[in-house]
Amino acid sequence: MPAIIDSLRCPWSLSIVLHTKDDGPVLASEPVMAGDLFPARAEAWMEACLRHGCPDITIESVSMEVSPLRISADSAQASGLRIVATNPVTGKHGSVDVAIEGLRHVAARASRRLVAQGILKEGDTYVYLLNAEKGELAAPAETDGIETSVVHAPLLCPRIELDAVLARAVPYAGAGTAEASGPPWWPLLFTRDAFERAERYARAGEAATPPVETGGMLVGMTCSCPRTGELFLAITDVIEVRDADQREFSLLPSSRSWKSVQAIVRSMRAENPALQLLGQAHGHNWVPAGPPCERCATAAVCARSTCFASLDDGDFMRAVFPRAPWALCGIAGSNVRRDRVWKLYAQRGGVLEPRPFHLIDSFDLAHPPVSITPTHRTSHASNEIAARPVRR
Amino acid sequence: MNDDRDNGTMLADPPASNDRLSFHASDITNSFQLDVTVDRALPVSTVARSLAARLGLPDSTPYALRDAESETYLEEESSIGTALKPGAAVVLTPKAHLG
Repeated sequence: MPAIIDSLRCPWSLSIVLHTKDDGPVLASEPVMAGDLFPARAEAWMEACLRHGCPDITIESVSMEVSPLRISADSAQASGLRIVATNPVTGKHGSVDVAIEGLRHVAARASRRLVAQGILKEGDTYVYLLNAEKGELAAPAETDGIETSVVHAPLLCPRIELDAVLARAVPYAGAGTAEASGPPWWPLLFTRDAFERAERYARAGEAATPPVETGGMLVGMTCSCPRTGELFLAITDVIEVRDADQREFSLLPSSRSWKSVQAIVRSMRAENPALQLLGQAHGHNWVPAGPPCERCATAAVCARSTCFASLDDGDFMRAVFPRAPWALCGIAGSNVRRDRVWKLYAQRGGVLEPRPFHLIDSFDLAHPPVSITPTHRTSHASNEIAARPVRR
Repeated sequence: MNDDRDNGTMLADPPASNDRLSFHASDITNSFQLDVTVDRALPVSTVARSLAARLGLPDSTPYALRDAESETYLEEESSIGTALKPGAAVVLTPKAHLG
């Protein structure tokens, strides 16, 4: 088991089972790997620690337990998973329920293999179910000849009174605004300048023929309110993704893209070490398919838009921000009426969901005065994990 | 040139070459930093995949090692020992695209 998940207790062998659409025979059984649960595990850490005034507790020091949400007592089938994290300082729990949709990427992994084997064709549909039986969580085989010592960078969270900041902010009310539903989201603020640039970079590809996807990386701070203990984010800058492979339905950053982004972030952090990459915004700049529907003339809002978080978007967020459950996926698009639409997605239950946010004129650490959270150091002699200052 | 064998002595064999390589790795967001020691003969692709697994990163995404100084990805089928100098820094970069 990788050292990074030694604190995870999962006495279950989990698998995603694919069936033909008409509930026919099993097509494949794909094990749920430890890495598949990491984003949800990070979300449980956020709920147990970061949203309760403990931003300096690392994910590695939080014990967690995974249990299936059973459909029935006598069935191995589950409707999802529950991950419960225990705050090592307060002893309180934070939990995340991952619906089966939150494991869609596991089903997709199996389906890609089935397509490569010729068992399924591109575009074929299937049903996927979650099975949970007593056993162990699958982990990839360790490769001989490799030794690692992992250092986890501390999360720097300026302590800022949230009420004072929200008093200067207004809720975003543009087209695509997400309704506030379900448990309360952690607050999110965008400076107006950063929001304008995020949308400009995302929509830059509209001008191409055919339109292509373009975008930028979001930069800002994770903050902690000293009064409520709540975590909140402030997006203060956006770095355009350049030198990328831009296509009609995809945006692939190149090695030059990443080098440039990282160099800019490094220079930003020289002034403010709390700044970090907090997500991305990109444009689904293609024209929505199909004519307007029969409700077009009377519906107040057109719901048929290109603003949706795709499977590729989810894979990208899991790969680039595995330890950042607060990471944002902004999507600029349009609807069938050709109205411009903007949606911001964040992780909830392991799935990207649209969420509301606020706009603020400015956000800087000079006003009000703040302190940087002290570094939390942990060491695990058995697996050689030790914390030390991040190498710049 | 003296030939030591004329005098009945033999030069000792040179020391066996070091078959391990140590380098540093981090991820895109600088959340992780790793000190890595590997067998030089291992392919770059194997090392990248193994590092990603050890960090609990998603299995569905291919990962590449990018030299932190240059703009280039290391050749996946090269051995890590020929692709990197000791003490080099690389970034574990997901080859993932938005869509």
